[in-house]
Amino acid sequence: MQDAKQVTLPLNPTETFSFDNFYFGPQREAEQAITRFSHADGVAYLYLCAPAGEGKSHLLMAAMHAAKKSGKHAAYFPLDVLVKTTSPAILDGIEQADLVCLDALDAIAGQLEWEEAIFHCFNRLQQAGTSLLVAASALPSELGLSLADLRSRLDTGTLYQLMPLQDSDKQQALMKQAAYRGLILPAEVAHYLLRHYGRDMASLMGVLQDLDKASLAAQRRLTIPFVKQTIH
Amino acid sequence: MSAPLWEKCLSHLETELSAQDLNTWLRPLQAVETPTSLRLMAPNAYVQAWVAEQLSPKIDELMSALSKGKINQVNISVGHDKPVETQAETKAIASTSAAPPAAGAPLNPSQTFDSFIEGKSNQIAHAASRYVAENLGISGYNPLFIYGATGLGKTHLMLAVGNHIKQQTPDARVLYLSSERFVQDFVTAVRNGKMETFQAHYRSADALLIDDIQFFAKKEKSQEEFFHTFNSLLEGQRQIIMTCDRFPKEVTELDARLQSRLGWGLTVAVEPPELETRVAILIKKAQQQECVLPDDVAFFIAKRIRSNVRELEGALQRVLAHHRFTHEDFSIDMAQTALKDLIALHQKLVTLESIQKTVAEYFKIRLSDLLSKKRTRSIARPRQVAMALAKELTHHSLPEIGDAFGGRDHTTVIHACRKIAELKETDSRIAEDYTNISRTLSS
Repeated sequence: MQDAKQVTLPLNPTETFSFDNFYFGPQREAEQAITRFSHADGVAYLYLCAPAGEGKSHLLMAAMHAAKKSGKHAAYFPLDVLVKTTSPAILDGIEQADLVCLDALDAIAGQLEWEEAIFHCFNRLQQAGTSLLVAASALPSELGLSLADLRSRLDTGTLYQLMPLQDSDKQQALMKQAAYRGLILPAEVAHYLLRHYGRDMASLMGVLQDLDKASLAAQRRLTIPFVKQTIH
Repeated sequence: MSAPLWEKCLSHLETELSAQDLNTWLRPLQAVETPTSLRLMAPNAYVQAWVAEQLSPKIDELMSALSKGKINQVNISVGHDKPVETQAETKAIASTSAAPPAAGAPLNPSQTFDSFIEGKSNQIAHAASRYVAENLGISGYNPLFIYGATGLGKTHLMLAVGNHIKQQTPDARVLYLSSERFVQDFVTAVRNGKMETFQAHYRSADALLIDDIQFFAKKEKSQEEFFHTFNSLLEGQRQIIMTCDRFPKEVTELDARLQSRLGWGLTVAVEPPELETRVAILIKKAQQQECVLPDDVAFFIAKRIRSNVRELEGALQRVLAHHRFTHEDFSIDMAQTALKDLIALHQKLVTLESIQKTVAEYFKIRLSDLLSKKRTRSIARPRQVAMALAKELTHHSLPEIGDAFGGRDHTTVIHACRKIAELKETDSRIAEDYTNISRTLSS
């Protein structure tokens, strides 16, 4: 007889990336600047800088989602993926959007063709009055960009550095994300995850996603034994 | 623009595509929906081809189902329906790939001579630009070539000329564009067989303002066309203004004839602003955003951000945002809190080692010589420059600086600093070297 596991429905991916399920911790000013940004009108440019795994992509896609909800036209460019698979021509004409999000800007450092394309794109966005949200792992001058013109333009933005969360904040972030998914993640289980499955948010969110699917399929609550049984 | 069926179609596709793919390839599409048709407009041919190749059958199928058979084929083309707006809300005609060249980019009306902060670093460029603006076609400074590092106000000056001309002669045809735009228009004109329209458009300008001409490098055909445009305008006594990140002769990979003609008129440099100018820029930019920035706070920021005006602007934006979100009054403490990331970066970057390395590389001497006991002029002078920079850009004590330069006494450092301060006033080469190295270290 076949296993009577329930097949999970595909989740709506854009729902996963929202400001509501992002935990900023004590960074109130960054939170206000970023969440207001996608609603603001007029020329605006925000530069987010944080190490990998601190939620930059999440925030950019959440900004896309918020822009869409307020009837704006937005475009998202994960440059780490695009430099390997496409041509800089993908950026032509994107100034027609209301909001452009450039993720993982680090990936274009040293690739002159891409650097030039982003430079020209930046100028066109400014002329068209399109908002720009950029994310990178370091400040513009630390990215190793070859094109000084691009570096200096990137400097004009309002810059926010997202600081890594403390462990207690990470626990809160996990519980908030779980609640958003309709899961109850008890504090002791969140604490257990932090102690046993890596302390960077990207890994922890991956673990939570796996647990979400497993708990739905098994119709089980999230308990430490269930976590032990599910995640190896 | 409402496209309810397309939104439903996207919701279905969301379950099949990653959020990244959806946001990169499908969200940028603009949809024009009628009860029997759907037209998707991609920002460029690249996105159009990708969507047509990867998703067209799926989109057709979904739209047919969602429209109950009324929409059987979706048209995917390149285009948009959003008019380009500038900060001045100047509307340009929505362009399509087959359209004739656009009228250049609209001039940003805030970039005027009044909003430009004049200082020692840009005095000549400012005066020359003003003269050209007030004597259109008869200034004798044609072309006016403004060069300097990025973020120092070259474009501002060029646009100030354009705005002044428009103000004095509203009918004047002032074309402002980047060299990239010229190349794009040229390519489009060749592709669509509209070279005559292109030539007539550019050659009939009363003033042609071209930004960042270094990007003409390697684009031979565009250079040739620009060369003809250039000659035609010059013959007709129409003004040409160009900006570039370097001196005309240093723009390599430009046609020799074009390169030589760039220097026919007047070539002026824009240097990095000195402290007082940086302070004035900050205060003025804050005023433009209806904020009164106290002098001591402006000094605090300007002392720490030295490389260019854009970085200064970024720092100011951060301080203004902090003020807006926290309602905290402007003070040095407040600015320090708001800028802690940036300041930390600068303090981290400029070290005694980085100064020594940069100075040695700049003067093409060995690092070991810089730190040695050698006292020949070719070694001693760079060493003095490095010591003066160390005093200005780091928080190390004079004994520490002396120690880092081969165990020298702190009085040697004092002497070096005095000597360099004196030479900066009397020897323009030393002054330029000092500024260049300082900029390299701070950028």
